Amino acid sequence: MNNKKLIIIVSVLLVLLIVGSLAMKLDLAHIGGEPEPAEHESFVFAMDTVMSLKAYSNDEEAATSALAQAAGAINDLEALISVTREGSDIFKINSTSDTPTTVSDETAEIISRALEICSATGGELDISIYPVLRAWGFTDAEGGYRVPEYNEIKQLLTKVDYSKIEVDGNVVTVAPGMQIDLGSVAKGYTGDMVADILTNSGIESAILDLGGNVRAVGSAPGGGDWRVGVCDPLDSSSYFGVLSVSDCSVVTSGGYNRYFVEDGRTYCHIIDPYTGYPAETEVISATIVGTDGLECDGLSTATYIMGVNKAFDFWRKTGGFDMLLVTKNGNIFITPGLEDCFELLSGYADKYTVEVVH
Amino acid sequence: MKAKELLRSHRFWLAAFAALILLSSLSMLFMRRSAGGSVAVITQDGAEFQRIDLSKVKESYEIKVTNPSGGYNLVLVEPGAISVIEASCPDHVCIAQGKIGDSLRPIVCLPNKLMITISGGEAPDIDSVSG
Repeated sequence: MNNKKLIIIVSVLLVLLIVGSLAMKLDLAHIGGEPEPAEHESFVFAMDTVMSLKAYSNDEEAATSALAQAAGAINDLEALISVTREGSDIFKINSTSDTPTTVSDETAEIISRALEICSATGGELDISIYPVLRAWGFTDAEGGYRVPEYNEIKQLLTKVDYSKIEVDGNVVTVAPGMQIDLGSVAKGYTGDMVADILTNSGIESAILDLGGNVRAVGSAPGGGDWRVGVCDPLDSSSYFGVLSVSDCSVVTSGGYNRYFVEDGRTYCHIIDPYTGYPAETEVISATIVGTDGLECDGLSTATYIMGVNKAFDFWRKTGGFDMLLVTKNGNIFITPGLEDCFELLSGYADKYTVEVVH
Repeated sequence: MKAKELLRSHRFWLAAFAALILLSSLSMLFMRRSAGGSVAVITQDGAEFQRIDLSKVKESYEIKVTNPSGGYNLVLVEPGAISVIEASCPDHVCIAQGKIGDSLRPIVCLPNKLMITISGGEAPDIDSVSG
């Protein structure tokens, strides 16, 4: 090789080196395009859980103000629909059962929409299950868990019947002795509420985690889908797969989130309204993906209780959402809509088998 | 060519310089994604209690975080991870949350008003977890 060629090669390499270092400093990938929006995160403690709201925007003022507005709205909503807070609409309804109670438009709307899901699922979701939940000890933060006597449950079940809840405009009446609670749909509704607040403030990209209820707002910065992991029901500190989604809710129900063990038996907090006992099908985790957060939330509970066959029958009849069910036998059954956006992590190929059900 | 002649030859030095530049460029390419320290922040009732750079932790140790009402959480700090291993709260949700090593999810103990978040460090592979 002669000197000239060598000098040329060295000069080229030198140029590459300089360009490379500059690129690292200036992040050349974004020159000519929009600078990547900054992340703004806020935590809200409400509805017995922690909510992480991450908004992406280059307008710091808009993001901060929108997040503050969202936090306020979440706290206001909780004051309105909390079943334990004296003065809330739900508390009023429950303490004056059999008497028409006037509530806010928002409460009436949430109850109406929840009742639609109760009806569509044939009562597998029933928002009047609260007294039974309480008898098991699941409503008590102190964890006063107990296995109620069969007769006690039978007695309490006479007060469980969503069809006896009447909503007339913003007047709600429940049957005598009935207690309703919106815990099964509240976070799903809240996710959509916060999403609206953010988008109305001009924020197009956000990811919300409301105690495990995920709401993807728009797409991730850069335009790609948000990557939402699905919690492994057998090891809740890990996730077995990833759903790539945009602008939708991803809600998972799982007995593993709250349960107690007595005399060797496991009792989880998801109570079957038909039996008054914790749901015990092969399903250990039910995830619903859809554009209506309240619906996703309610359906994740209902499909968990239904079990695989009933859940897919229901899906075939109703549609409008996607579903992923994990069974104790290591199956993951998904609706066709998730086939292209669900990815089982390679480390889980031995633990779970994925099957698309039509 | 004899050694002395080799060292005096311009070509040799040019070639050596070229190799050096090539190596630097290549190593820079691979170093692009170097992770800074991931910092765990422990807050008690909203106030920062302690901040730990998990990437600098060599040996595991424990921290006891108490709150004014008499409750406590025992925090285990390990190289690259942090978790709650003992707590006075009734439901032990904070313990069940297990270890965290990235900014994906915080560990929270609502009854004791404790929160542990991680910032910085390598970006997690996903944006959120449902469940």
